[in-house]
Amino acid sequence: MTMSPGSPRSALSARLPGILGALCALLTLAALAPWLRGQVAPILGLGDAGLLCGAALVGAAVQRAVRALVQRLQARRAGAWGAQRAMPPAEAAQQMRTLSPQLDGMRQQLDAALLAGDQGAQEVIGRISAIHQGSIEQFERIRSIEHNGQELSRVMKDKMMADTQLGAILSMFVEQQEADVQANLERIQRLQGVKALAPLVAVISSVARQTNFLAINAAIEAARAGESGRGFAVVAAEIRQLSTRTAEVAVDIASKINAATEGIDKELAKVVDGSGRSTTSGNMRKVLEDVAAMRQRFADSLDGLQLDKVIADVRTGHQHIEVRLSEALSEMQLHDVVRVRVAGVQHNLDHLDTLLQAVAAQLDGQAWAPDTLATLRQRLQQPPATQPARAGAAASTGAEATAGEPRIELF
Amino acid sequence: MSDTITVLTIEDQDDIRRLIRMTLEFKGFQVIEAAEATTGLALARQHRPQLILLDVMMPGMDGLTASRALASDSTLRQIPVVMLSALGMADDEQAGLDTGARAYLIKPFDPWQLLALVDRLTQGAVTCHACR
Repeated sequence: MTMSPGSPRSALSARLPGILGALCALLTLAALAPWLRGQVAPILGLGDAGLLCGAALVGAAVQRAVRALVQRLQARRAGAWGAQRAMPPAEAAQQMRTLSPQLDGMRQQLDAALLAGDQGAQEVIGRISAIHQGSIEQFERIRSIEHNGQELSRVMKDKMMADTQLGAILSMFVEQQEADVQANLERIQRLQGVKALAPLVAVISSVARQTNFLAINAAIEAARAGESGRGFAVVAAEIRQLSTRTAEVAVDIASKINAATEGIDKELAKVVDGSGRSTTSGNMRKVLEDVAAMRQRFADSLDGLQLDKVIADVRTGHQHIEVRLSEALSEMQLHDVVRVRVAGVQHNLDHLDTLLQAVAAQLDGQAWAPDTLATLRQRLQQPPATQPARAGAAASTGAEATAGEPRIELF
Repeated sequence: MSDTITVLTIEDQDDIRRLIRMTLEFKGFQVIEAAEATTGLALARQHRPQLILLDVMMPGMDGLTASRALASDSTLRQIPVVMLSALGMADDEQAGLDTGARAYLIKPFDPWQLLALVDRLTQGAVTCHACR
């Protein structure tokens, strides 16, 4: 069983000789006090003061003797314990030396852990960078689509405007055509005035017939007149011939007027029928209405696409991804902090190993060198150097470590 | 009357230029065309048309600049200019008229209105504001 120097049990053990010495001295004085007062003091002629001094001298001597005895007993007891528990210095030195390979193994394990961590971190960084690059390329493609979409939108708007313009001009042509058809109808209707000539033909035929009768009567009267009427008979014959010719022409005119009016009636019927809803202009109007409705649906669809809003949303999403990736890359720097701290532990393991070997050497009997131990203790108290960690990181990433750079910066 | 009237159309869109030609030739106007302003100004100096239809938004020299160039040319400033544009805001219209144009027609325009406008401007100095 061992006692720590600062424990209460240890304090009691240290005071025990003094306490027992003082107790024994008091008991001795108490036992001798009557004898000293009654027998010794009268013989030696001592007063109370001399008696008190003598008692003090005796008490002190008893106390020293008891204290020395107790200390001796404690020392002997302690020697018995030490003989049972203490390790021989040579064996302790050997044990300390066996720690060195174990400490070296711990350093190697830490190296392997650091290397694996570096490789993992680099792999994650590579994947994040690849995602970032992919995001950039995706956004560039979207920007290209945006550019093409804007160009397409502009062309579509131009075309829609041109279609609207074409529709307006076609409507103008249709209106003009309808106006022309109406004008033709009116002109044909005016041509129907030809029918009014038919009664005049009848009048002409009647006049020709009556003239013929007059010519016949004139010829009869000329025959009755004999020689004197011969010239009149010639005139009557001519008049009769003219009346006959007039009658024939009147019949011809009547025929042609009938044919003309019949043709006019047919044309009028066609025009009137053509101005109905089945006309070309009517169909054209219907087509124009359909085209206008189609154009409106197209415009509504174009507005419904909201291409600008889609592009803006995509841009916002891309910026969000970039921010998150940057945050992830920043958080990866924590690995560098861990590396630096592990490197500090390795560094201190080196110093600890050196210290243990120094103590072991001294246990083996080498000269005591407290300055060396003090130096090692000071080195252990120093902050860990970052250089080994940077060298390890450079070894894992293939990059060159920068000497004399205290800051942690991987990215 | 209109058989001898020549109208110069300066318009970069082929479709619209063709439609303007159809409209004007429908009423017997003679039409010459340019797809951009620089060529249009050269044609104006060469043919001295009775009227110029000028698009506002064109690549290269825009219609507003071309209109100012026409107004600053002593040999061309008497030719009435009608601006054609898809920009229909009041400020756009005022900007066009401020260059010296006699009228501002918004696309797509009513062809009857265009014909009436061309008729009026080629028969006398008539300023048509906000023809729509």
